[in-house]
Amino acid sequence: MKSIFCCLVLSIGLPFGLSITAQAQAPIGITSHNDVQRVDETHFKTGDTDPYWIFENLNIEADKRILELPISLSIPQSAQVNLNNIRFELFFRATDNEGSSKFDPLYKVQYLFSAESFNKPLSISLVLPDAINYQGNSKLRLDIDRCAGCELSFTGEQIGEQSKDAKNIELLATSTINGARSVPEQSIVLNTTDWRLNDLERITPNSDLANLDVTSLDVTGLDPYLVSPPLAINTATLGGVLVELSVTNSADSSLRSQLFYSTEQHRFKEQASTIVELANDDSNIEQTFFIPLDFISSQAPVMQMLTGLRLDINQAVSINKISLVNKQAAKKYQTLIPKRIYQRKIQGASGQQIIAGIFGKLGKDPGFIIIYGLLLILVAVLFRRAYK
Amino acid sequence: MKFIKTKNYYNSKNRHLIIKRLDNRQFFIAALGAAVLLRLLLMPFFAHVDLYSEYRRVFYVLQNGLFLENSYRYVTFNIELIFAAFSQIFINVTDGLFHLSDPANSTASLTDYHFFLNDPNVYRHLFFFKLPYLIFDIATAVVIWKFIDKPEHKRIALLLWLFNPVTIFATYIFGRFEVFGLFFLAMTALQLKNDRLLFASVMFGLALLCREINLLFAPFLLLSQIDFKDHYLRNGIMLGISSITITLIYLLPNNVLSALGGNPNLFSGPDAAQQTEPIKKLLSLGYYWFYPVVVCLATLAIYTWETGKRSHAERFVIASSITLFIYFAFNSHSVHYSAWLVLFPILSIQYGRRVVLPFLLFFGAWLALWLLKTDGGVFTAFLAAPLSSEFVGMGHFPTFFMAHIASEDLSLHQAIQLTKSLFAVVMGFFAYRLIAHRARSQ
Repeated sequence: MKSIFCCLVLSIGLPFGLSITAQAQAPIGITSHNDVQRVDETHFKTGDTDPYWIFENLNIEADKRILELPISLSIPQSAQVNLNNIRFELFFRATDNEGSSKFDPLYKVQYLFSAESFNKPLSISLVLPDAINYQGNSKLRLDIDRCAGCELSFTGEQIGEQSKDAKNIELLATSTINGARSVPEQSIVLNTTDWRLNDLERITPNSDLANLDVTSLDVTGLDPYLVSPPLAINTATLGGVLVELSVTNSADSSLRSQLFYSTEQHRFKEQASTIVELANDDSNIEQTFFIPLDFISSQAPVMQMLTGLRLDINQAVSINKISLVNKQAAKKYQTLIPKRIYQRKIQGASGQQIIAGIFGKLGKDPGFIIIYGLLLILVAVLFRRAYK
Repeated sequence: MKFIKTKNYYNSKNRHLIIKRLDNRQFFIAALGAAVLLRLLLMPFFAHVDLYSEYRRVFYVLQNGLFLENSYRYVTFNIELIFAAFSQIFINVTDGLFHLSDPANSTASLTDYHFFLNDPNVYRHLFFFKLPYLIFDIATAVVIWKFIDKPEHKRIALLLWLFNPVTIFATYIFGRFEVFGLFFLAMTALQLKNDRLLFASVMFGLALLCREINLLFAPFLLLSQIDFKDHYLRNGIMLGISSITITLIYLLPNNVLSALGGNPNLFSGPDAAQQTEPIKKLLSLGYYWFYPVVVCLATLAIYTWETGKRSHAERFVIASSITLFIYFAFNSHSVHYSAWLVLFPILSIQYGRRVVLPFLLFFGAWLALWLLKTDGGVFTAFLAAPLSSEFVGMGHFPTFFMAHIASEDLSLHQAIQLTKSLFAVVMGFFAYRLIAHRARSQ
C-alpha cells in the first residue's frame, strides 16, 4: 500500500497553486489536491488559499475508528503559524459529477490542533466519531486551515532522520456535522425543557393543571442564560427565531434579552447575537418577539449550519415556546420584530449595504420624507426669491 | 446666437466679475442659502452617541417635569429642552426609545445607541435634534456679518464660517452643541464693538452657561474692557460691575433652582466627587501642558494690557484667538472641540488680519491629526451611517496606516506626534498672523 501511495504522490507532483487535478486511474490514496506544492517525492507544502487533498479507498482501524491516514506535520519557522489555531476538516460525503467530486459541507468532521510549541515533526492520526457512517471505499477530502507554509506527508513516517523522533498523537473530533435538518414550511418548535441553564433555576409547577410545555425560570445569579442542546439546522431555510415568554416578575421596567447563535464556523460570540428590549408594563406581561436570522445563509461561507442557540434574559420568565421559523413564513412575523433591536451582523454592514439600509429605513418613515423633501424645496425657493 | 454669447460670457477670464457684481445682500443670501441646504442635507444622517445621550437627559427632564433639577450647562440644556418640547409634535418619544432608568448614569451605552440607530424614525429624530444648532449657527453667521464692516472682509468671513469643515463636522456630523457658546461669544464681541460693555458681560455670562471652557476668555474680556483714556476709578467700577455680572449669571441657575426647592444635580453620577480629581491634578501641575499654557496665557495678558490703545472688541478678539491657539497647541482632546478655534480668527478679519491661509492649513492639519488620532468616536460606526469605518471596507485610517504606511522608522504613535507638532505649528502661524499685522503696520 505504501509503495502504491508513493507512486501516486510522484504521479501528482504538480506545481504550487494548481487547482484540483483528478487522478482517475489511481486505485487508492490521493486522487487530487488543491493549493499545495509537492516538495519532493513524499511530502507537500501548503498554500495560503484553500489547501486540501482528496483521497479514495482509505480504511479505518475498526476497533478505534482511526483513519488509516497518519499525517506527518512539520512547521518551518518561516511559516509563522499560530500553533493553537490549526484546523483539519474532513469532508466525508461526496457526489461525483463528470469526473470531479463535490463534497457536501453539511457532512464533515473538524479537528482543532493546538500545541504550546513543537520543534520536531508530529505524526497525527484522526479519530473518526461514531456518529458518522463512513464507508471504507467512499471519497474523503482533507482540508488544513490556518497553516500556510506547513509541510505534510501522509506516509505515516517522517522524512529522513527526524522520523524516529516523531511524536504520535491522536486527534479527537472537536465538532461533527452529520447532515442538517431543514426548517419545514412553517416552523420547528424547540423543546426548551432540556436546555442547559446558567444562573437560572427551573421552577417546578405547583399545579397539576400547569402546562408542562412551559419552562418557568427564576434568576439565581448574575449571568442568567439558557443554552440549547446541539442543533443541526440548515440555515438556507431559516428565517428567524420566534420567542414566546411571560415575564413572571416585572420589577424591571423592561425585559432585555440577547439571543446568540452558533454555526459550525463559530461558537457563541457577541458579534453573532441580537439584543432586544421590550417594555414591561402591567398590561403586557406576555411577550412575543421575532428575531430575524435570514442573513446567516447569505454570509460566507454559504451553507452554514445553525448548531446552537443561547438566550440571555435579565429577569425571571416563563419560556412558553421557542420556534425556528421558515424563511417564507417569517414574512408574517415582521410586526413582531421589537422596535428596540440591535443586530451586530446587520448594523456592521458596509458600502452599498449601508446605503441600502438608509433608504430602507427612510422608506419606513414616509411622513418624514415628505416633510423633509418639502422643506428642502421650500428653503431653495425662498432663498432664490430673496436673492432676486 | 444668444446662447453662444452666454457661454462665452461664462467662460471668459472675467468670470469672477459675476461674483463681484453681486451686491452684499445678494452675496449674503446666496451663501446662506447654499449653506442652509448643505446643512439640511447632513442633519438627518449623522450623529455621535453623545447626541443621543444629551437628548435622553432632555426628554427625561421634559417627561418627568423636573425643570428645577438641572443647572449644568443651563443655557445649552434649556435651548435643547425648548426645541425638544416643540419637536414632540413631530416625533414620538413615548415608546421608551429615550428611556433613562438612572439619571445618575445618563451616558448611553453602545447597545442603547444601536437601539436608537435601528429605530425606523432615527433620521427624523436626528433632524429635529439638530434644528436648534442650525438656528444658532445661522444666527452666528448673521452676527459675524454685522461685526465686520468692509464688504470684501464680510464676504471672506461669511464663507469661512459657513463652509469650514470643522464646525460643519462638529455640529452636523458629530452633532454637538458648540454653536450655542460660539453664538454668545460672537454676541459678546459685537457688543464690545458697539461699546456696550455691560451687555457684553451679560452675553459672556450666557456663553459660560453653554460651555464652561469659555472661562478661559474671562480675564481677557475684563482686560479688554479697560479704557486707558478713562480715569482708573471709572475703569475699576466698570470691571467690578462686569465681574459681578458674569459671576452672578454663572451662579444664578444653581442658586435660583435650589432656592425654588430643586436639587439641581440631577445628572451628577455617584463619581461626581471624583470629578474634582482632574482639577486638583491641574492645580498641582499634574498635566505636562499646564505650565507652558499658564506662562503663555500670562504673557498674552501682558500683551493685551500693552495693546490697550486698541478698541475693546479688537483686544478681546485677538486675545481670545491667541488663547485658543495656545490651548490647542498643547491639547487635542476630542475632534469637535476644534470648532472653538474658528470664531475669533474670523472676527479678527475686521481688524485687517489675513487668516485665510492659516485657516486652510488648519483644516488640513485638523483632518490629518484626526485621521490618525482617531478612536471609536471619529469617522466611525459610532456615527450614524454612512460615515463609518465599514463604509469603504478599509476600517479606520490607523488600520490602513499600519498596514500600508507604517514602518520601523515611522510608527503610528510617531505619526500622531508629528501631526500634533504640525498642528501646533499651524497654531503658531495663526498667532503670528494676528500679532505681526499691527507690528508690521506700525
